[in-house]
Amino acid sequence: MSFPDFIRALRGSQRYMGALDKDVVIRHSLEQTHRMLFETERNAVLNLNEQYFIEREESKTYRPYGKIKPLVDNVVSGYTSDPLMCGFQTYYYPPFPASTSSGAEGYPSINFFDFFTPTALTTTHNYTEPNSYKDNWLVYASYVRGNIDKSMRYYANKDTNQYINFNSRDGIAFHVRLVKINGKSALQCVCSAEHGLLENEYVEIQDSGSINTVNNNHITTINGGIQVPVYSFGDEMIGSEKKIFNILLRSDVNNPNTIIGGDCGVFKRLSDPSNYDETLSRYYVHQHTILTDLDESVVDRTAFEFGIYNKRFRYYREDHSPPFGIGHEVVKNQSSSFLWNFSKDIDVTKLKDNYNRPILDLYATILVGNQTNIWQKRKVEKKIIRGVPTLVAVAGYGMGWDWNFVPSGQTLDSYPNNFFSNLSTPDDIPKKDDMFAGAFVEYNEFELKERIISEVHHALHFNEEIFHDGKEREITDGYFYQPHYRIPIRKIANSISTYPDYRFVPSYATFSISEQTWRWRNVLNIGFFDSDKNGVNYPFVNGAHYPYTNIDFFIKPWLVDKPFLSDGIIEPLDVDDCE
Amino acid sequence: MTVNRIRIKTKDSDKRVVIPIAQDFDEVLGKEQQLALWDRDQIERHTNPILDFETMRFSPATILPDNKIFYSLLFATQTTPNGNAAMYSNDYSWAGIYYPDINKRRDVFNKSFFKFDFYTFPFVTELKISFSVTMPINNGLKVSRQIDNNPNSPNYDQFAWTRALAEDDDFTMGPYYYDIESSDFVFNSVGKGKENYYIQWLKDDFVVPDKNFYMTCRFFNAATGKVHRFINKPQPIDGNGNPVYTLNGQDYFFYRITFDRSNFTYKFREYEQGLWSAADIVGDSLGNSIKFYEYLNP
Repeated sequence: MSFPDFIRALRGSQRYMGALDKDVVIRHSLEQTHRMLFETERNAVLNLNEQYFIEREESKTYRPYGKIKPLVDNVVSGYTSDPLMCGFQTYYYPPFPASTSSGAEGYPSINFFDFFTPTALTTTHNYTEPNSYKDNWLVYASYVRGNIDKSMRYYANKDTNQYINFNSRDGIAFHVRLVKINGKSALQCVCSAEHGLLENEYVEIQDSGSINTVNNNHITTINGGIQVPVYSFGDEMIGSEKKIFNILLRSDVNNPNTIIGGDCGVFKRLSDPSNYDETLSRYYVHQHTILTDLDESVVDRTAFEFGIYNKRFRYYREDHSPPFGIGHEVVKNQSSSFLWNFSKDIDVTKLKDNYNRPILDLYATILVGNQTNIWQKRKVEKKIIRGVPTLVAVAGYGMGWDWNFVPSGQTLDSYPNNFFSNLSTPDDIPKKDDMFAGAFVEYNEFELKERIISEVHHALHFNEEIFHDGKEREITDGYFYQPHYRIPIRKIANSISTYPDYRFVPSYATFSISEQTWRWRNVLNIGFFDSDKNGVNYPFVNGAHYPYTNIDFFIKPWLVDKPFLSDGIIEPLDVDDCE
Repeated sequence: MTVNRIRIKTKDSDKRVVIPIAQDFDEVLGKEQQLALWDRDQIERHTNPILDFETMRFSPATILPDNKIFYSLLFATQTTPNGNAAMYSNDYSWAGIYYPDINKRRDVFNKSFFKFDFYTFPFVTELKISFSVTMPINNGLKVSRQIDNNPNSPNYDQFAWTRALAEDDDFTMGPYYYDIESSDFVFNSVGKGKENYYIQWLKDDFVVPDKNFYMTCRFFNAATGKVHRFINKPQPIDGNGNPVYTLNGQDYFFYRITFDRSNFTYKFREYEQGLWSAADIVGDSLGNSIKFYEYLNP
């Protein structure tokens, strides 16, 4: 580079009068802003406890295992003429069957409820020994992936056939009684399940298209409005506080209340009317997704463990056991235990729950296998009754809640039929990624907490072709069981965390408009308890977690009226001052 | 002429030349982060290596729907081998455990057992045991044996015979039979005989990558204190009809078990150096059972 000729370089003193010569210096600073690395000089402080904690916290591999104790009181009797069942698997009422052409009355043997079948139990039972642990019950792992809506029914009075149909998204159903509390007119609202209300909270009465009542009135307003404060809880029964709430009836409102006893309604819980959008509870049903295939389940006997209940059995001698004339023993009641686990490791890394959190619970899902065909599997079928083809509703597998397993052959809720696999074992065995409905749940966005209102139950009715009332008709009584059992793997904190900047909150945090901040509950570390019971701790070995779950698998008879209004009527003993 | 009188004054301050050479870039391109990861990896490897010792039950892979597994562990009925399978029996009396011992569950019966050892290689000089399975003989398959009423016979069972006689309405004086255990075994997945149906083995191949093991059989005899060795074929005779006592271990000692971790099954094959037995699988039926024959020493 060169300068043009007309540019002259002048010394400082020649530029103007009084100017001085001056040295011009260009300083160039070459600064080094990094330090040298000495790769051979690396130090790490070893802390085995810390290392264990890190590895445990980062491991997402789960090997759930546990014990199942099927508990059944085998009380529903019937009549069978299936040769195998009649011959070997029936605990007869005396007398025992007279010949091969006759049937017998009695109870099905306990083998129909057990987790192992020792032999073929009915003529339609395709028995192989290695698969015998999958004949009666199927064991899966599942998790809650989403929420669904589900139609439900609540009977206010089953004798007068008064009931209300509603959807899970509408809230909790109740029926009312007109009572006086402290001399004031009040409405006593008897809920289908625990209402979850606290003092000073409100209920919002629902009126949506999915709600309709039969043989009674639908309550759409109370005291002229839909948001009503709760006055008190319970009636005179012990333990009724959780299922009954009372509302004072005001006489000063313009539209007098026309509610009569037995009317039904549906409510949602509202904890703060001034923050309506965030404190109104949501109601829905869990949607379970199956994580394992049936072949990946392992069920085995627990050595010699038998429950505390007596074994009840009879031995039938050769001459007392036609049609085969082979002496045999039939057990009516026995409680044994079984171990379950899975041959496949469950990796929860990519699983998110219904609120986009890392999953908090795995579930052991037990579904009826029915390889023996003892249980009814159809719902509606055409039958020839006295020569006339007739559509007969046969209560097969169905779903129910804590409140609707009441006698009288009431029809249960069906499975959601849009995208769910209906349970239709043994014809169709559930597999991985199939979905099933789970518990009925309340979620309050402000509390950021779910509350289980009712677990889901599945119904079992005897297959009338094998076991019937003696006239080849359905036995209306049956059994029901709970299919999903929670395996807690993480817990969320009792306290709510908040932070205004979205960049520093977890992905499952929700923004509160009323508080103008992000809110969430932290997922607690494994082994950390923020209260006595809130936390999880389970062994971590082989690079995997081993949560243990003890399942009391109740197979309850659908026979007696459940005390679903109050937990009990025996009051606690009075304690007087002298004691 | 009017002109603007413009004076250009210079500032007397330092001039700067900015040379744009960036010097604060990450020269090591995230190396520091990688080293931190490397640190962690090294710590995990050296302080608490994760080895998965979880076991899973493996069931026999057979083509029959009931996939039971069958063993026949046969005792020699002669002191000199003749190369014939017919000289072997499933009767414990040839090993000194007699019918009354079995029928009365005496200690000589209860405390005798078979032991299967599983090795990683079928080379007798390099045997390295991996695991063992014991088989109590009271799980054996019951067979009908005649109650012996000859006082000179070791199987003489006066008690059982007298009792059978007492139950005999026709007073035929025998022969009478009882069902006692033989040295054939049938195991299935449910019920009493399932003790050795499932073999527990590592679920993951990380700790022990082998899937083939070589099984030998021995019988620990509580009646005589002797340990009987077993071979996978009847002990042979040479061209001159003389018994062969020196056998090639690789050909005679082993059955091979193969674990399939994809479906948690195992299957047995008779092992012979360079020459496989005709059946791809043995042990799936009584006729094709896992047969071991007692080895006789001179």
